[in-house]
Amino acid sequence: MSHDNVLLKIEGLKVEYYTRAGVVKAVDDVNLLIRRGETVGLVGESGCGKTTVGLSIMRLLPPNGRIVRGKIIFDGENLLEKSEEEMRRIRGRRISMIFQDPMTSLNPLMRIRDHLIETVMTHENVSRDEALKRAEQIVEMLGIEKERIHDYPHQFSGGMRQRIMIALALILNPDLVIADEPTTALDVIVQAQILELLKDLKKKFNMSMILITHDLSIVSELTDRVAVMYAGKLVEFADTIKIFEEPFHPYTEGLLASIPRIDVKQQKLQSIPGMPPDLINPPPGCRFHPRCPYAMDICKEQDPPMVEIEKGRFVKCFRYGGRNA
Amino acid sequence: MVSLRVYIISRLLLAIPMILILLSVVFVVLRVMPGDPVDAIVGPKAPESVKEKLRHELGLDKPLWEQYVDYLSGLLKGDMGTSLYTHRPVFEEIMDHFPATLELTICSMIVAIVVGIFTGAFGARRRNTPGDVAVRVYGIMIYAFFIPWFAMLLKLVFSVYLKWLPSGSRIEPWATPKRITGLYLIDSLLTGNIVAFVSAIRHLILPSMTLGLVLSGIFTRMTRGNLIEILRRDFITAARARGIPENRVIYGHALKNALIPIITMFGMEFALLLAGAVLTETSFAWPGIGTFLVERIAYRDYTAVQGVVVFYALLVVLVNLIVDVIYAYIDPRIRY
Repeated sequence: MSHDNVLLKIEGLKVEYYTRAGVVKAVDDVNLLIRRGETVGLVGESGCGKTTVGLSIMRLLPPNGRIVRGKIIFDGENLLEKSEEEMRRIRGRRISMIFQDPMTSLNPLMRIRDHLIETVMTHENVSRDEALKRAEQIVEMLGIEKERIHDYPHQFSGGMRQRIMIALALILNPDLVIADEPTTALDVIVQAQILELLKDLKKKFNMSMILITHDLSIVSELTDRVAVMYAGKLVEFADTIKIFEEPFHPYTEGLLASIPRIDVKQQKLQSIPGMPPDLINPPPGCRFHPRCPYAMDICKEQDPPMVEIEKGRFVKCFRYGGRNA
Repeated sequence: MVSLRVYIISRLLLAIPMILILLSVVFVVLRVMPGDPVDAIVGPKAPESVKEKLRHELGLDKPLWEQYVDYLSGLLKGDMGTSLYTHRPVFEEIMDHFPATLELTICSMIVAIVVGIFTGAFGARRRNTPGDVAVRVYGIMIYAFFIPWFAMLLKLVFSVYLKWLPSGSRIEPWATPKRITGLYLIDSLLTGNIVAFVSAIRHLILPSMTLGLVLSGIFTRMTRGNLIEILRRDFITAARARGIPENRVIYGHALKNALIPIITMFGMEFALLLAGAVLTETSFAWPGIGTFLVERIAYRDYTAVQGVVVFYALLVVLVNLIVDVIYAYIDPRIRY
């Protein structure tokens, strides 16, 4: 891959949360690479650190969260070395975020119009009229009548509000959009509409996207590549098609097996036995070993390294080598 | 908007029984209290015949229920009666004193809200730092201050030691502006009387600081608590993720949301404000309704005291109503 094609590179990211119960090692040594124009899915169970990765890129971790180590290189520059003011100018303009719950992500006291205008005028030196025109344009593109721009958030349904959130994320034509479970809070029909819309917009705007989700069906529809996270660690990173064809990591395998299928008669819903580990005291060795059907002795003692087993295909499991590393 | 009208009318109708109960209690308590208006007017050593004559003139020899019915029927016609002490209409006397109280309470409220919101926002932004702890201590301590004591303290420092500000009254007597609204600050500006304006402000500072700072404690705690809660909301993170500057996030997005419950509280605080004004006025010889009330209680001026109670009750109802309407205006989700 040519190097100038890389938009975002995360190297050795380690994030901790300081809580009363102890230090939560939420993200540990995560490496990720996103090229221009591609969509990367970030998949895993609740609490595996995928949202933390998203918030780290934005540098918007909650006050008790800290990036301990690593680099986040966006367009050639390390975001972790930027000042707060430099970072603020990147947010919304070059990297934007779509949040999980559209019901609570809009200021209830502000008209939709003012959300959009504020965003444009914060970053660009344009008149209010110009900003309003742009707001009307983007809102229409997302299938909302432009007259409704003057309404308040509570006058919209969940699906419509998520469209507005997307409009807010896209209005400044960012290079990267981080979509954090954008359809989780919506019902199935609306989910499908929003996904269709995202697919469409991705082409139109030629942006890169990180899609954070636990829903593998969304991943298969929307992403070019998938990164699977387990307990704060990246366990597998590969092209979406390849992962669905043949998952290598036992956790990925389990995830895929747990998708209910209508074409195969099954007695019972498949699930991965056990619970995700406590991240204050994660298990030694491979964090997945207590739940892994293939666990070996070495898995309990050593953390397997990330191995590139095919070009662009990374797995973190002793079954695929790295035993002497 | 039709429903808003219905809402306002129903609220006003609901206020009637409340005022009636309040008035009845005051009516009885005043008469059960030791002391006699006749004694207060002519002195306890006056001959019994003089007292009898005065008692008859004031209608105090009638049975209690008759006095009660007389007073209520007068009130229904909008007549608050005449003062037992000065024989002037009570309403007129209240109106003479009301501008002074209004001026004091408005200035105190401004102090309370500005100081409360500023300190509260300061604490919320620096949660769990020494600055925040200081804000929390302030919020609790200041509210517990006894107004006459706090007034004395301020007078001691700023009038006696530093000699910066006057220790009482509303204005230098020779500077009194021509009465238009009765609010000296406004009247002096309307008549272009700068000397009166400066004098009125100098006299206002200590009383409105006393009352305003004591009341600011509640606003400090409310603002801090609400703001911390609001700053945790998703839409704040979403606003930050759009690169909105932090000051705008806090003072534009978060504070406006945090202020909604504070506005409701303003209505409830208003009664407390009037009560605090009584203590403040007497501490600073401020010629408002509070001073008037205390003076007339001493004279057992039944009609004047009853008049003030009715007037204050109506005022509280009215202010709460206005607050509700403002509330609906600020929060688009609320419709009556």
